[in-house]
Amino acid sequence: MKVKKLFAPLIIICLIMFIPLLFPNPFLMHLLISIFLFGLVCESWDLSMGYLGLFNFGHLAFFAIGAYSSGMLALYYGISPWITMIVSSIITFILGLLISLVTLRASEFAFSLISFAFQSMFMHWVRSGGGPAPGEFGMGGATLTGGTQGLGAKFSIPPFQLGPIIIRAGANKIPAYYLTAIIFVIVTYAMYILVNSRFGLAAVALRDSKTYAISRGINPLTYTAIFISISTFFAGMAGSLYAHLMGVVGPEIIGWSNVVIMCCIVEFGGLGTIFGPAAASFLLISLTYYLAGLSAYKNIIIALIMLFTLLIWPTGMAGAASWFKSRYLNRKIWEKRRGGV
Amino acid sequence: MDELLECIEISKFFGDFAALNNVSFSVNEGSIFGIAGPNGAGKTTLFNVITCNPFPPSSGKVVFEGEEIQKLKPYEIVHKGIARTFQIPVVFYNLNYLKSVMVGSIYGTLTNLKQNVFGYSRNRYEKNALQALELVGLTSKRNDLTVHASLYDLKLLMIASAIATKPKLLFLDEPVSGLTDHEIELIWALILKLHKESDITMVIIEHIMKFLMNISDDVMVLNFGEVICRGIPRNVANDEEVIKCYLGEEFKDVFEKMKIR
Repeated sequence: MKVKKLFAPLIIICLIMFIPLLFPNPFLMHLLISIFLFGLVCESWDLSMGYLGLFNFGHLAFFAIGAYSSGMLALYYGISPWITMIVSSIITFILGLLISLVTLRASEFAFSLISFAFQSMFMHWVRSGGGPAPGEFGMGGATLTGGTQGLGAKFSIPPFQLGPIIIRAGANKIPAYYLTAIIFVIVTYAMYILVNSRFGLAAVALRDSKTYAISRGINPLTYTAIFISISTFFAGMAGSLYAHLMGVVGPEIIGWSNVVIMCCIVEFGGLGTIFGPAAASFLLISLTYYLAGLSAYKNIIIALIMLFTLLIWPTGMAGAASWFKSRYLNRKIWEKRRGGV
Repeated sequence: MDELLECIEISKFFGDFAALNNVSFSVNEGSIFGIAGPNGAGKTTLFNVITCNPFPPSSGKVVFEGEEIQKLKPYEIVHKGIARTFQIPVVFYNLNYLKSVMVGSIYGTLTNLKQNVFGYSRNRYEKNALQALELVGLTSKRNDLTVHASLYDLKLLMIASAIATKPKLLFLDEPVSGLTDHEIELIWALILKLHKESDITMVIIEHIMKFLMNISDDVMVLNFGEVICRGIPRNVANDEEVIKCYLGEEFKDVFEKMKIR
C-alpha cells in the first residue's frame, strides 16, 4: 500500500531529474526554470486561496518583495545569495504575519482589500525608485529599486555560487535547472505535509464552516495568520530564487497581467489541492511562452481558460483527475460503494 | 448538587429588539436541563450568548464553575469545557468522519499554539476521536466523506466532535428534530448513555415534547425572550401559561398518554 503510494511521485521526480540529460535544449531549460519558479508561487498562493478561502490579492507583491529584498541585500551589501534567500523569506513571512494579524481582526474582506492596496503601493514604490542607491551604486542617479528598468539592469544581481559552479539562468542553464527543480520538489513535499497536518486540518475546518470550527476550539486568527505567513514565506523564497537566477528584477513581474495568469493557474489546477496548481503551471506557463508572439491576444486566451474553469469545471485539473480515477481506475470500489449503501 | 453554570440576568438586544430579556437560571452539575419555547423565543440565542459564538450577551453575567466567562473568546470557552451542537446541521464537507471529529479532539484540548507545536501526538488525538466515533456508533464510516452524510449522521457527528473536546457541559440544540421515530429513540438512548457513562451535564433545546419532557430533570420555557416557567417536567407541562403560549390545549390529553414522570 505504502510502496504503491510512492510510485507516482518517484516517477515524476525521476522525470524531472533526467530531462536535462535527455533534452539539453536551452529554451526548454529556461521554460522549465520559469515553470518551477512560478509553480512555487502558485502552490503557495493555493495555501491561502484554496485552503483558507481567502483571496490574497497581494501574493505576487510578496514574491516581488522576496526578489527585491534578496537582490538588494546581495547587490548592495555583498551578502551571499544563500543567506539573503533565507533572510528575504523571513522578511516576507513577517510581513505576511503582520498584514494578516492586523486585517483579519476586522474581516476577510479587509484582508483582501488591504492586500490589494499593499500590492499597488509596493508596485508604485518600486517604479518610483525608492531613493538613491547606497554607495557607489548610487552614482549617476541610480535608484534603490532601479525604477522601471528594474533592479540589476546596471549591475546585475549576484548569482548563487556553489564552489566553482555559478548557478544562473545564463549560458549554461543546467545548474540553475537542478537548483530550482530540487527546491520545487522539496517545497511541494513540505506543503503537502503541511496541508495534511493538524494545521491544514484547522485551515480546512475554518474554511468549510467558521462558526463550527471556532466552536470546536480553533483560534481563527492564529491559525489563519500562520497559514498566510507560511504561504508568503514560500512566495518570498521563489522571488529570491528568481532574482538571483535571472540577475534582473523588473516591476513587470508584479504587473496585473502576471497576477491574472498566476490566479488562472491556481484556479485551473484546482483550488486547495497543491498538486493541481503545480501541474497547471506546467501547462499554462508553457502556453504563455508559446503564445508570446500573440502579445495582447494571449490574455484573451488566458481569460477564456479562466472562464471555462470557473463556469464549467470549478474543481479544475485536480477535480478532473479524481473524477477520472473514480470513474475508470477504481470502478469496482466505486460501484461497490454505490451499491453497498 | 453544585451549580455548574449560572446565568445572571442575561440580555441580548438586536437594535431595540430584546431577543433575551433578563434571563436568569442555573444548571446543576450532572443534570439534564431542558429548554422549550415557541419559535423565536430566544432559545438558540441563549446558546449563542452563553458560548459567545457568534456573539456575546449585551448585558448580564455567565458564571461557569465559579468563573465569569461572558468576556472570553468563543474558543476559550470551549477550552473551559463547554461544547455545543448547532440547530442547522453544520459540517466540514471536505473532511471525512474521522478527521472532522479529530478537529474537536485536537483543538478542543490543545489550548494554545505552543501546546499545539510541542505537545501534539497524533496517536492520542486519533484515539480520542475514534472513541467518540465509537460512542455514537459511526466507527464503520470513519473514512467516508461527510459531504454525503445523512441528517442523522450529521447530528451524531456534531455530538461526537463535541464529546471529543472533553466537555463538562454540553449544549445540544435540537438534537432530534427532523428525525424519524426510530432515530429519535437511538439518540435518546445515546444521550442517556453519555450522561450515565461520561458524567456530562447537558442542556437540551427541543420541540419534540415527548423527548424533552422525558429526558430532562429540569425544564425551562422561554417566550419572547423571557422565562415564563421553570421546574420539574410534570409541573411545567401542567402550567397554565405554558399551555396557553406553547403547548396548546390539546396537549393536556396527549400528556396523559405520554406518561411524563
